[in-house]
Amino acid sequence: MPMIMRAKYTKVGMMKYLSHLDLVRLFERAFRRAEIPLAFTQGFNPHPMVSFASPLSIGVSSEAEYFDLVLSTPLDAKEFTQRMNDTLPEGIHINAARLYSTNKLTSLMKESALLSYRIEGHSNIPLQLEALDESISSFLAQPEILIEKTIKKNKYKHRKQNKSVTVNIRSLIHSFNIKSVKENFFTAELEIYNYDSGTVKPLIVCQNWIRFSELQICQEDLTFHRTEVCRKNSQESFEAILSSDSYS
Amino acid sequence: MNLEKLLKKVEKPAQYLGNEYNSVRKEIRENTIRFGWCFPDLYEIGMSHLGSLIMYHLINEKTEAFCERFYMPGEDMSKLLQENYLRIFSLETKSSMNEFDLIGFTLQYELSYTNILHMLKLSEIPLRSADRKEKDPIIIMGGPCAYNPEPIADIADIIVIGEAEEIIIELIELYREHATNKADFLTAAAAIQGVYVPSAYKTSSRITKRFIKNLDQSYYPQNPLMPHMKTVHDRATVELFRGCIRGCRFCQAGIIYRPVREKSKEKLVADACAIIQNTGYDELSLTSLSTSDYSQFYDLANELMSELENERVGLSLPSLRLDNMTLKILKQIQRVRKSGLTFAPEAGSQRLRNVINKGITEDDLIQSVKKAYEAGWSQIKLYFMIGLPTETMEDVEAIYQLVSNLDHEVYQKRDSQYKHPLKISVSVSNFVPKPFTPFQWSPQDTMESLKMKHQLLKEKFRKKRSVQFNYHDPETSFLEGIFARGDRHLSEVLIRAYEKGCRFDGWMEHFKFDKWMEAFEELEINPEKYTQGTKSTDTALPWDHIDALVTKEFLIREYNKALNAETTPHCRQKCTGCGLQTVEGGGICP
Repeated sequence: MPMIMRAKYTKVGMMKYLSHLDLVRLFERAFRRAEIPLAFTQGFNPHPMVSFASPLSIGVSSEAEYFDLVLSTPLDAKEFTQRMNDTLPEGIHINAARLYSTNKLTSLMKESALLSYRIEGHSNIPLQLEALDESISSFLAQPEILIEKTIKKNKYKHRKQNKSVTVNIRSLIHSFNIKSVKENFFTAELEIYNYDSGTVKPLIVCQNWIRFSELQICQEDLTFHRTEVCRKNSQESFEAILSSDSYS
Repeated sequence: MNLEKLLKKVEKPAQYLGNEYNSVRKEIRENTIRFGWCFPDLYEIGMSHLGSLIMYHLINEKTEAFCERFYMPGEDMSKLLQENYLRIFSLETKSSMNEFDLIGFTLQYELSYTNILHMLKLSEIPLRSADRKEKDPIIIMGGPCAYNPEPIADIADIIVIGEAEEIIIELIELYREHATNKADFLTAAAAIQGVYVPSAYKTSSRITKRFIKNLDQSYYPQNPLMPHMKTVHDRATVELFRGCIRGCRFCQAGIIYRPVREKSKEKLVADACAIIQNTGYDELSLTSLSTSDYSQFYDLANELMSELENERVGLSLPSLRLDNMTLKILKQIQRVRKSGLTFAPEAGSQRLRNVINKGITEDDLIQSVKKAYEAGWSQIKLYFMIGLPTETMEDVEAIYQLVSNLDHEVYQKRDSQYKHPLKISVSVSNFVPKPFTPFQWSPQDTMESLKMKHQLLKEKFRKKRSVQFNYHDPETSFLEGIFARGDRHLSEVLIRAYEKGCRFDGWMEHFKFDKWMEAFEELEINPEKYTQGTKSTDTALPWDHIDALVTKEFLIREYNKALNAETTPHCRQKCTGCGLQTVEGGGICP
């Protein structure tokens, strides 16, 4: 009976500068060091069967990343977590895991419906909470927020074509709120839908907000931290794919 | 320094992070000796270098010193550092080079010399040894290019000739005694065998290379560093032996790493298993200059396969000579990827292969490729060199003829049961004569002549669709040749070219040939005098004060045989009397 271990992990500190591919390699090697009973793909070059949720941009940290790993024999979720955390480098840490006795789960890509971020930034001048709140309200009150997006077309090997399309990102923003302001510094929370048809990076949302509201916020110094990835449950409300510190 | 501000703006920030799995951290106390290991190229290249890996862990495990790493930053990072008046930093503690006692640069490639200058410049350390003060760190250099140390002799304080595992420990111990006085330290260091101190050098003395006598007892890291990002060779590695029995006359490594010294099969299997367990790598590479010449190759490959198969670890076998035995092993190793196999006939005609003593015939090659194709391989890579001594246009054309015959005999005449295609890629590099080879006296082929030969081959191969043809730029080869056989005057040319903006000379997209030529012109040095060879083998050579333990008589003998297209049997067939047979720890090669 194939088993799937779904795990939630952090990517914080300097590790946020690893690319997604670097991270995949890091996990494949950690699985081997932790002696996790892996199931492999067929063929000349067998690989462990692991799939990840929506990849992070380089430089964005997270406390809610997910992967599904197919196991060849069952393993207790707590045991799995401990063995992995013993060998994972600082910054990457498993904080929830659940073992499913099935060979098919709804993929993490499909499960990820809502991405939550904490954003921190600063200005050269002192900021006012009311003014920031107001700027976000009017930013979100626009019926459409249009951005130009280039889509890389790689369909024909020798004819790389880049196509530019206009996308409305207003419909991708679930919520956007200022959490606190202290002198020149502010913290905000942003929730973004992750549709099959597309999503938007939090940086793009912030750039458009800053441009729209003519705020003097240093774009280069904004930091982004993913706080949760939610799925839609049967009651059509959002809940974390795995709640932190749960092992079952 | 706010590192994060920089990391946000550069490509591939993972190369600057440090803190990799198995990287070392030590407490830095008042009396801690700090060693900065420098690789003068990008992280993705340097992290694949086995020598650096050995030295990093050796210094950290076997001495009290704390060894940290520096790599050449990418151009975007360099620019940011300079704009913000920042220095390059070590990966472990983000310290600048000035905070170190000893700095070690590895010289793997002549065209990385400007990168060394750049790394010193970005650390605000004077480029010339004579300009450095007591407070500046001691700059040590070593590696294969150090066998001709003269082009960098004004830049380095200490140059290590030969294998550094023992020397580095001796230097660190010596530094502990003499840390307070640089001149005393350098004088004492010059007395160590294998250490060349240009400032303390007395003419008529010779610097004799060092080599490790027993590789089984020599240090090898069982918990090797793992790169954060994809590197050129991203896998576990064990080193089967040093040296090579073959005696190809163009090959510098085949001479300077003599004598042949093998590790025992037991040690290799134990190391391999430990490394796989400690890293989680899924691929193990068995490296050496000619892997299938390991005397227990068949048993070793079998044992490793039975140990590692369950873990789904694949074996990677670079530098193979494909004979029947090797093919049998390759067939047994299920997980050797059947995508590509590389052969290096090096020359197109039998006469020229005899000149370079590459003991392989056209028939050998065709039979090997045929067997490989029939065993499932569909991509064959062939390496050739042009510009070899005595080469004629007929020899160059023979490259095309050989590839053509190969395609015809193996693919066009294939049995109908074989359905897969055969893709041949031909890579032609330009021969650069190197010190301590029988061709150290030979003229290097001119850029004009190389261009003509490229043109000839390009036209020939254009008609052959199934063959992909690549060749190397003649200008980088010219510069490589200048520095390979250069003298002390080149230190100034190097500095001048660097000041004109030259660096990453080995990277086509950064190479500035015109700036180099300007530097030569301004200093009134004719670059061609370094590549035209010498009329007689009696002429003094810039590296005559280095003793690689191979006698000049042997090299002259081989040179004369080369000119007559006579071959020399390999060291297991008959001792060539190269000089190592009388050296302690040398003896007759196994």
